[in-house]
Amino acid sequence: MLINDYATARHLAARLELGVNHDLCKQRIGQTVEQVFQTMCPPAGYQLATTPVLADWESMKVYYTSPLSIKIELNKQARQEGNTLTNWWLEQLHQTNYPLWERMVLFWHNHFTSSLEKVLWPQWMFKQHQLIRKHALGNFAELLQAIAKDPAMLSYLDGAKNTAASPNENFARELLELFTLGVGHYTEADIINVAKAFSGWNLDSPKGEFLFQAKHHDNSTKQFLGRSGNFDGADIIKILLAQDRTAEHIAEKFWKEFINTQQPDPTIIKEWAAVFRNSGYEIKALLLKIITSTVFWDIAQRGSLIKSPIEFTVGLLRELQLPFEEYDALRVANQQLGQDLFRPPDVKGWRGGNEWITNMRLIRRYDVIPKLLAEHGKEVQSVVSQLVTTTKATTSTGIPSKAGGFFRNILPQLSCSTNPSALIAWLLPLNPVAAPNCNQTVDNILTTVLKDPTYQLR
Amino acid sequence: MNRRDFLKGLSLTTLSFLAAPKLWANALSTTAGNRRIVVMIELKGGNDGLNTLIPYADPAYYAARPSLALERSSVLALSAKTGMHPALQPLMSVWNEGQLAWVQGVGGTEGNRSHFESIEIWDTAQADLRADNEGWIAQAFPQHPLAGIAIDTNLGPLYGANVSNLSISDPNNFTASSANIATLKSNSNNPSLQHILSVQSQIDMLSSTLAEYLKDIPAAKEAFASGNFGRALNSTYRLIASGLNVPAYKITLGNFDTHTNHLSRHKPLLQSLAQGIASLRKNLQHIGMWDEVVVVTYSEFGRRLKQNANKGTDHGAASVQLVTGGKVKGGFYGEYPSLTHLDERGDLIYNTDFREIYSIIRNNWWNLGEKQTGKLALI
Repeated sequence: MLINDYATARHLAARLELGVNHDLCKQRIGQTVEQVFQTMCPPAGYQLATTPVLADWESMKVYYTSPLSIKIELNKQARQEGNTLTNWWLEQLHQTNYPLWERMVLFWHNHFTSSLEKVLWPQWMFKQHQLIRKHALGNFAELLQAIAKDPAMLSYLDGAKNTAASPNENFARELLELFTLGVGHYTEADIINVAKAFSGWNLDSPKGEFLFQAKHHDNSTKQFLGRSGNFDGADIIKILLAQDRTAEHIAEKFWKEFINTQQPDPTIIKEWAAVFRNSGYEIKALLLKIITSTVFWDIAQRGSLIKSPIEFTVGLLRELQLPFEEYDALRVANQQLGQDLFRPPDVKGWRGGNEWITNMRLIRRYDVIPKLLAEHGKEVQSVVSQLVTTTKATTSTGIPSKAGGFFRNILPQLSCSTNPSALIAWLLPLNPVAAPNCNQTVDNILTTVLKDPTYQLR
Repeated sequence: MNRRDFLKGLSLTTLSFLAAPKLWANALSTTAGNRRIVVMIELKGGNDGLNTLIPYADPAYYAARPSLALERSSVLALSAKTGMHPALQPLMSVWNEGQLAWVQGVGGTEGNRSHFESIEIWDTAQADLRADNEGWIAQAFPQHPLAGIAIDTNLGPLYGANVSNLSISDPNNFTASSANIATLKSNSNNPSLQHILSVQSQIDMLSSTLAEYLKDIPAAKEAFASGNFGRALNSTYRLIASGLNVPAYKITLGNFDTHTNHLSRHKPLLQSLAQGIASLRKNLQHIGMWDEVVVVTYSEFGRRLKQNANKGTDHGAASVQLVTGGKVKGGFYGEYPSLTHLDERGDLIYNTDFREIYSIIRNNWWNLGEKQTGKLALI
């Protein structure tokens, strides 16, 4: 499928990446969607340049053998390092060359939720993060099998405490309700049996590793979705992966992420789910199916999704290409906007859609724009004033002399005597509700565009 | 003008109110002393009714909870059969003055033990889960200029796509920071854009109105506890004290999902709840507004009778609900469920549908239907 104009390239970027990169959009015109998709995925073996600076697990695990006073100290340290971890991810989101990858890491973090509120250790949350990162554009079946043994997940959904003598159903329930089948496709009896199958799948806390305890595993015969046998956790996951509903449930969540937040079309979902299952649950196969589907390119879907706080704030920083480094401030801003990374509100994660925009949150979104730009103080000011002066200088030559970064390609059109349509075509998915007055100063035009309600959409 | 006439007079749609700010602002004013307000407190996570209103005389309670049962001597006995958790001490005087109602054996989510589905059933009072189901309070006030304010990011029972509601963290903060937000219109049929635009015009209308109301409010006589819950109660108090005519408020107290270490985690939550309600009552009494308010707690489900291996409790079914207010008839409503005749999961079986309590509030308090008598008429 060919990308034949700027608006098409923009829609693909707005849906798959974080913020719209103007230069890239222009470069992609004339390429196929499949080609561009390949360039969005990191090459095999790609590694991040940094890891978050967290204390060595060896120095934290003494917690389990320490008196209360030391425990309190270590808890405090863990809390601080939780912020270190979040700031580090924000930096990756902001700086990445593979925003699709980061988007998918965030998507799966919101699917296989765990939270620093319950999982004490940022080290465990980072381990889970790396697992999700490894499979984010990989294989869902592998991710599902691995997440069931992930220390943070075992802690978050109490798998660590699930034993034959006293089954804990927390993980079993969410595995069926949220991770695979979805509500209404299993019974209470199924939950009881799944909890039994996962009994003994515990956690060695001092090691911070999965531990199978045979003596705590229930070896009885379990009935599950019409089958029976002495299933363990891995068997249960295999049975779940053999259900149409599992692929459909994931396809429905992709619909919410990439199409709109209305009720998905069941025929299309079945089609996507079939592609997903037949590929052996390859996430790229599902994504590619979606971005080459008619519904994805339906003009009515332009700007039909509300940006999440991360999409909004990180997207803004990436679009404007400002040398921003205040990740502490960015973390707090996103917290206030309702998306505190590594701390989803509960196991169902951030609901998204209209819930992103409540009265308070909308007010804060508009407040954040000048804040994020001004936190940067002089750099922003100088970029903007540079633009203004350069614009004046261009009127004679028609070619901007000094502008760099994000202004490079749109500058000629930004002269106050011309209309800001190129700026709008880049930053907004739809016509603005309040069109900027082209006789304003350039920074006012920019602010008007960024504060237009349509800037909240992607 | 009484409440019913007031509501009847509001035949205009919410949208036309938004188009006419003056009229809208006037409709929110009220005759002092004539308001009928409900404060809904969501106990998020599934509150354990058994350790809230305790069947302390039942040996089955102690048998099922060897390390979680409250000692008989510590229970605040209200009858020969049941008593309150000691952390609810601040509510003892409310009980003694006959203004505290306990609804026992409350439920009605038909065995649903999912947090998300159960709370949605409670919020919407509908068993079929659909994304566009409206909250039960929103359904009661389809045309009210402001059906409710959530001091919370989750509107819960106030949610309704075309109902006027407000979700804020602090009213003063809200009015101060919304000064630059203007009403805009677009003929686009993009539902996400229309949502943003409707929130935006609501902010525009409400912030100026609220600022006006909040100007000269007496400070709370008794300070509310610090923390999110205390702050939310303080905001609720200020909004009620302002004279604003809003039928419902919603706040949340979280962390009731006590699968582990139940005893030590549950106690401070009940303490916050009891202290908070007692402070709200004292402060509203002080300004003569306690008679205009009914406070109702609710939670997605109770917890299992039998404790689990982690000194915790798992998701259960029937639970208890607390209702208090100047006009509430204190006492017990519904029956305490049997601790020996349980459902297939070993959970308490409900005998009072929570919808019946909603219906009492709707009809007897808000006068939106024929007055109900009978065993559950707690108001």
